[in-house]
Amino acid sequence: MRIHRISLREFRGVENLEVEFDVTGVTIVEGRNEIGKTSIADAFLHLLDMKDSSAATKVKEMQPIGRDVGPFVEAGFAVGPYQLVYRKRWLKDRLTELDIAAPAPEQLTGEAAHNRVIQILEECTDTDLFRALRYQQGFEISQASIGDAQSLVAALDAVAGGAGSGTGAGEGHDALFDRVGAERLLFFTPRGQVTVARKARAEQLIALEGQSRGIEDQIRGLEETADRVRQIDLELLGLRAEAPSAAEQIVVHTRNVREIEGLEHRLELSRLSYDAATAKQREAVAARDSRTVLVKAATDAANLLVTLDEAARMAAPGLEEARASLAREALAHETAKTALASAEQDALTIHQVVELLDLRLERDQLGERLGRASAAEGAIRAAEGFLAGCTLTDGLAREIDEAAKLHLVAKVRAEAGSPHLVIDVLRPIDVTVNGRARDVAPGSPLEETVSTEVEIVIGDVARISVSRPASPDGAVDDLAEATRRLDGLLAQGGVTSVADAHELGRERLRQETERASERRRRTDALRDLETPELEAKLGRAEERVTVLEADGAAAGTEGETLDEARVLANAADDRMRAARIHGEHCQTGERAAEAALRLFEDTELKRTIRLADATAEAERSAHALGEQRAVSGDDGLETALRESEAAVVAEETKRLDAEQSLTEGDPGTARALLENATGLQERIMRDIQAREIAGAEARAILGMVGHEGLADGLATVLAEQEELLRDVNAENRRAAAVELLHDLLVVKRQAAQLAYVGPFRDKINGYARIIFGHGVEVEVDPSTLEIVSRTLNGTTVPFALLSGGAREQFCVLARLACAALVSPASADGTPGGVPVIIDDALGYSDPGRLEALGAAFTAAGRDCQVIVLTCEPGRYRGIGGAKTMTLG
Amino acid sequence: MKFIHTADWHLGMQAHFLPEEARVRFAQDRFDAVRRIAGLAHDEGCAFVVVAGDVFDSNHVSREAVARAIDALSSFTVPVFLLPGNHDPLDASSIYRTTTWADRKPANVVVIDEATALAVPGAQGVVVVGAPWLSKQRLGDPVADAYGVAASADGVLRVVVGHGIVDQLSPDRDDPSLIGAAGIRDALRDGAVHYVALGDRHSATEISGTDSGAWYSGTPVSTNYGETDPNEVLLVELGDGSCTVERRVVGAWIFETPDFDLNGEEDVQALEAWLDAVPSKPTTAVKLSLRGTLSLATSALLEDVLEHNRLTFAALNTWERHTDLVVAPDDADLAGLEVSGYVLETLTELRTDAAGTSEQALVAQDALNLLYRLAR
Repeated sequence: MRIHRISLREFRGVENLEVEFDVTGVTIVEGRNEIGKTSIADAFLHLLDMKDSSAATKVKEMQPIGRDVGPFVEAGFAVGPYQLVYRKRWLKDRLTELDIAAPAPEQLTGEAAHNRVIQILEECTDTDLFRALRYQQGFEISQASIGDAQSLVAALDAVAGGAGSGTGAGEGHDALFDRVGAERLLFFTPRGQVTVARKARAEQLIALEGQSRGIEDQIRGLEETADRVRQIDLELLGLRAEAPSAAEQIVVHTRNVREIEGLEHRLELSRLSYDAATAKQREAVAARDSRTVLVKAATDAANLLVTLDEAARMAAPGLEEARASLAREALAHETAKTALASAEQDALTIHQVVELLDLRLERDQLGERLGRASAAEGAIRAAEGFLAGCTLTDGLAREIDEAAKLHLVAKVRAEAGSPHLVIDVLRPIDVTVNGRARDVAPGSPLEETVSTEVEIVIGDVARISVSRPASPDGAVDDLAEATRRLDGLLAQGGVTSVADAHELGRERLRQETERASERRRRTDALRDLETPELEAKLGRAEERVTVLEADGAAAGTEGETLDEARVLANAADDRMRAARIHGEHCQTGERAAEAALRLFEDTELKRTIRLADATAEAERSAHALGEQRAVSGDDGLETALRESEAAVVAEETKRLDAEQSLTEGDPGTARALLENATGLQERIMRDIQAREIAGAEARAILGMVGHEGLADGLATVLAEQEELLRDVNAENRRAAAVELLHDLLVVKRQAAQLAYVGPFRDKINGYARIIFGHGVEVEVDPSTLEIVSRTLNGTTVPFALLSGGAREQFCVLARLACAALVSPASADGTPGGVPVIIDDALGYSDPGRLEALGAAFTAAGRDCQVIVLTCEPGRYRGIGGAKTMTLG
Repeated sequence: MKFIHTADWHLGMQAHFLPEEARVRFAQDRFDAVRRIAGLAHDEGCAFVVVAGDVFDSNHVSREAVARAIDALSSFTVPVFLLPGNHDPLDASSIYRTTTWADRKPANVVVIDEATALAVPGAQGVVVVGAPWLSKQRLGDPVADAYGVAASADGVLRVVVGHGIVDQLSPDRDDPSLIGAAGIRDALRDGAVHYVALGDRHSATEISGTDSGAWYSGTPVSTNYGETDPNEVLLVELGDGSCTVERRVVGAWIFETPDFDLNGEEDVQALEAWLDAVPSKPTTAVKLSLRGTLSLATSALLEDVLEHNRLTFAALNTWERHTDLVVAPDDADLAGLEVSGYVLETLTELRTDAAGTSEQALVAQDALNLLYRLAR
């Protein structure tokens, strides 16, 4: 579409305005504010859209305020092959007129004219794109909504090498895409999952398949049961046919076994007869043997009587002698026991004497030891008393000696060069030197070296002070110190002089020696005891002495020594042992005599008993023999024996004969056959019973389940199953088809969008390089065709973060690029595309950018119609070759 | 002497492959056919009727089916001999052993339970010897013993009733339960029997070489696709050394499996004409075998034709296993579509993928159809 000219009358604030545009290139319409620049674009759109009969707000707003006139617009423009002049007046004196000059002259008015224009526009141009490419200042800086523009899609498609051309395809494709999407939602969720309804049908199909299989299994089971019943019936027939034969076998084998039992009975009888003959033979033998034994017993009993009588006679003297010997031995033993008692008494007496003497000696020794111990303990206590009071230890003594030596040295050193004082009293008088009384007598002068200041008081006569000259080496002080230390040590040791200290040391040593000596004495006296134990032991000795003496043991012991008493005691012991040995010897003799007598007496007693027994046995044997012989003589017994032996031989022959017959009858086999025949019959009866039960059970099952119409049920389920299967298959097939179509469309559309975006992006980049230089690139969204980001010299910035000026520049450039892309003429020379109208844009651009933008406008103007409306002519001076119209 | 030879009633059969409405009518018509046979027997003055096996579709049909069968049998005015077949063997689960049957069975109905010569009540000079199936499986010629039994009934017309496949008609010659055709011919030639009434094969068929002495009567009501001469009973007349067999139609259900080559609108119209010409659509089930290549528009036309006729036929389906129909858009299809750009690319790729009959090609064809439908 190209706009050639437009006239406005009574349109908003515009009373009368006419503008002509370059059909290719840039037309700049300049004019001050409110002169009607924006109305030009609005008027053209209203001319196309609004019927003259419309009373819409938009139409009412066309009317100048306060004036009852009809807004009028007339435009000359080309669309495709059509050359049109189209005019309308609204509200007052409404008018619509259309003059078509080409391709064929045509004039229309009113509704027909309006509809014809609509038809031509729909046929040849993209009014949506035209609206989208209009840019108005004062609105938010926004990118053109050109993603859905049909003509842009077609143009991009053509530039991208696609097969599509013309207009209208884009909208149709998107609608188709939506319809495919809607169709897809019949089978899939938006996320591509199978719908719940389809899942439910698939599950229902599985359930039906399971159900039909279950019924088929049931029917199969029933058929098998019926077959089993038939099999059972056949088996029953067979078993019942076998039963009589089994019974007959039992009869035959029972008869055979009965015959065997007869033979066994006969054999048993034979055995009994044989056993009886044998028993009788044994009885005959036993009778004969018994007689023989009886005769022998009688004889033996008589002989034994004689033997026993003779033995009794022979034993009588020995018995008497044994009794006499025992009496003798008993007397001797008694005598020995008396002698032993006497000897033991003697020994006891003399041993008491020995003990008494021994105790007395011990008592004396213990007393003496106790005395010694007591004395030693007294001495020890005395020594320890001294030692406890003595403060002069060995160490202290050594210290005193050492101090004395030092004192002497100091003294010598002090006295060297010191005044020597000699005090010789003429009469006894007390002399003190430095307050200490000194022994001074006439003729025994006191000599003293003055080592320090000395104050001498002589009685009440004189006080003499002697001063010592100063000692240059401190010897006097040393002496004083030595003196003070020595005096201190002496005082510590409790002595007044070194000699006393020595004396006291010796005394202490002696006392220690004495204490040690006494301790040894006390130990010797006590030995391994302590004093209380020694005292207790002494007490016990004295007590025993007192007891013995009270028993009279001391009688007659006066003058006897212990040793003598011990000699006597030993003698008494010897006698006592001799008497004891003799007693024991006599006792042994007595016991031997007793044993010999018991032996004789036992022998005699046994013989007496045997004799009595033998007598009784002899009588009994004789009596029994007599009685038996009275019954049967000895010859009779022999005869009976011979007869019984013959009977045994005869019965044995019969028994062997019976055994032979039984063996030939084979009782084991006969009984086994009978047992087997009986078992066979029982088994047959059991089998019959088991099959009758199984058959009855199977028939009961068939009766219960067999006629419930399972076949009908199966058919019903199968019908439902097949119908559902058909539906599911058809549905799956449709689902597969729509899925394939949808997926393919998505893939192809994405590829197409990627192909579209290339030329569009290249066009924008071409214009952008004029403004931003060669380092600029933009990224375009394939679906919306909006600019996503700008990369300048390697730095990428999202579109939304660009400056207002840059964003506005890109919005204008994108519109120019779009218009340029859709505008090339078709093969027949018909200009394509739509004009791009820029209404007072680029207010945010600096002068440098405006100049570059002018170059971009010029470049775009070569491909499309660009109409710039502006109130600031200077803003667009950079557009070379532009036609400028100035309003007002 | 006239009698009716029929078999394979399959009472209680539920044709699950039919839509529900047709299924109900189909099941009822089997009972109605029994009444039609009874009417025919009466009208033709038949002495008796033999049913050569498979009276019931199963021993496990519903109690209602048994009750309806008894009700239908009560319409016979002549003796009816029922032979248990492989579908309803006289085993422990047999319908004939139920108390319902025992208590309600019409008096003129005789279940042949063993191979003995049965006199026909009210008719002189004829015996019926049947060879019943006592279980689902048989291990020998089910009829062989009957010839001897029949031969023992001297001086009368002897009709043997059997059920099973005759060896000369069976593809499985090793099947132990086959009926020997030679045995039939021998028995007829020797005069041991005068007619052998067979059941199991649903198409009326004469056993070759028997001079009309041995027939399969076929089923009186067709049961499924693939039966060539169903819906008939045989009216048999035995005379002194003669046997004539007349086929009478008693059933109306037809199962058709026609083949069509569809390569254009004319072919689809021919198919439509064929469907229009079917005389009894409510009792006709059709399974179409379609081959060829159709454009999207013609395919849509075919769908319309089929959809319309489904409303009148008992069943109208395509036989998937025998259908090889390719749907591909032609230039005319595409001319009507204003597509370009990526949609055109999609269409082009789908056309490429739609070539052939692979599963993938079928999906692509369906997708093309869908695109065609949505883009129009």
